[in-house]
Amino acid sequence: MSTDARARLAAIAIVAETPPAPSVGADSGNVPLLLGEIRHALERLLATGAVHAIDLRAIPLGPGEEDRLLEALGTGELCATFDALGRSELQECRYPGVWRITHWNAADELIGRFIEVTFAPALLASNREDIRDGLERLSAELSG
Amino acid sequence: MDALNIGGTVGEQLRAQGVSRRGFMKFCATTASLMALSPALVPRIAEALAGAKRPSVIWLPFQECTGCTESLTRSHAPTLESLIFGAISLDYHETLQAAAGHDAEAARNRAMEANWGEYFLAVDGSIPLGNKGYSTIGGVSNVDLLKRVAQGAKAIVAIGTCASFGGLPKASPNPTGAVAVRDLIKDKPIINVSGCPPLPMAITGVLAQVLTFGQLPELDHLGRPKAFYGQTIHDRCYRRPFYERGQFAESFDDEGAKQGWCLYKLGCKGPVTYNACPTMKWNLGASFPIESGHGCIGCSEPDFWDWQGVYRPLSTTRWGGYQTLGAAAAVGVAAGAVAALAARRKQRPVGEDEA
Repeated sequence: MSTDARARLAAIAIVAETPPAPSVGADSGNVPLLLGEIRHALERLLATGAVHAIDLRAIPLGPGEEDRLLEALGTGELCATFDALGRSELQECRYPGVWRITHWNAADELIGRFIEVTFAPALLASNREDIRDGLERLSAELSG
Repeated sequence: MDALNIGGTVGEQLRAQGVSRRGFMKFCATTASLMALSPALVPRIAEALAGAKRPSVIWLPFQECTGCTESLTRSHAPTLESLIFGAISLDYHETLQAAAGHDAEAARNRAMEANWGEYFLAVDGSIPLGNKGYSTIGGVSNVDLLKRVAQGAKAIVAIGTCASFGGLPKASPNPTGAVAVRDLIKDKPIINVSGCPPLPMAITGVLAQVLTFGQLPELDHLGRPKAFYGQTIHDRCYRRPFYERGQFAESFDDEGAKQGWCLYKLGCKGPVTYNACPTMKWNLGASFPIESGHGCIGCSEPDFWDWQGVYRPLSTTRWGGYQTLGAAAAVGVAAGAVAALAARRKQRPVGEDEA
């Protein structure tokens, strides 16, 4: 590149701007709708025991909206984690019965985020097959 | 990579790898999400997947840029590794396999022979008909190889816009005489997973769905799975409220652009493009083009490259006069909805008259 061209390039003013605060309505408007859906699901859970799940990846959410939803749901008493094909976290929200379930893969990349409205997420319970395997292992150790 | 007749079910395979039932249920939950299915179906998916046999998959690359394979290898749920070793038996993929030359060809032939009539054929890239010598593998032309391998396939998954509709190689004046898989193969089920590249989750999601339910997913009029291509980018776009209010960015650096207003006037093809980018997003769910400030270019639609300009508004290209859009923008909600409807009604002919 010639000196002249470099000088012309250097003459282009570069200004770093701070992004403006988002204007009113600069989002999908889905956060209050999701909170409404969760409220209805809680009523149904109490009345009939019906479990409800929301896949946050299936909902159009603008920048920052998922964070605002999770902030609104807050953090409750119980948090459980397990490690199977990567880390998973089951966090009760500040509204009992509402759980935030987050899955990461083995490379610690976020692979799924769900809201479940339930007394306890099914993933918390030990499974029959695993219990059977464990029992066999324990029995073998005791007999060995 | 030469994983013929490994046998067993997906459930057995994962268990053999030491994956607990809890891990398997996690796998199913993320797979359901991947297939755009309700989380309520997870137990059914678990039951189906646990007993599903691992299908053999043969992947043929033709006139392509490897972008689709790049996309697949960035698929994060399930990981490519778990897909290959747990859910499918990827018996031939030139870019990913370790074998080369005669060994690779032999592996493909063995996979075909062992699974004749049962394997899935994945294709990326278009097929040149202008001169067979434009693209060959081991001295065999793309068209001959496709016809041979397709013969024994249970179904074909055309991955990317090139394999689905001809893509960039077919762009005017189409120097190689490029055609899509569906232009050559008429007697096998074909699933078009279009996009340049397709969403990685759409690629693995389709494979997972076929595996889970043992049948092809519901397809739209262009042969694309409705779970991913059932709605337009515009339908799912978080900027749509601005469109409804007639608030449009007029340039990439004006106040409207900074406020995140609708990019329709800057050439966004979201209203006529069917894909799941706004919800699935890219780069581990970080963003999608519109969220990053650029309009959709319509890459999952047939002949998008010949739509007379990435930055020209739809209304000034083939969708009517610019004045129509101006009126729609000015009047706002009602007119905006009409313009969207008009654009969507005109979407169908794009695929049909030019494909």
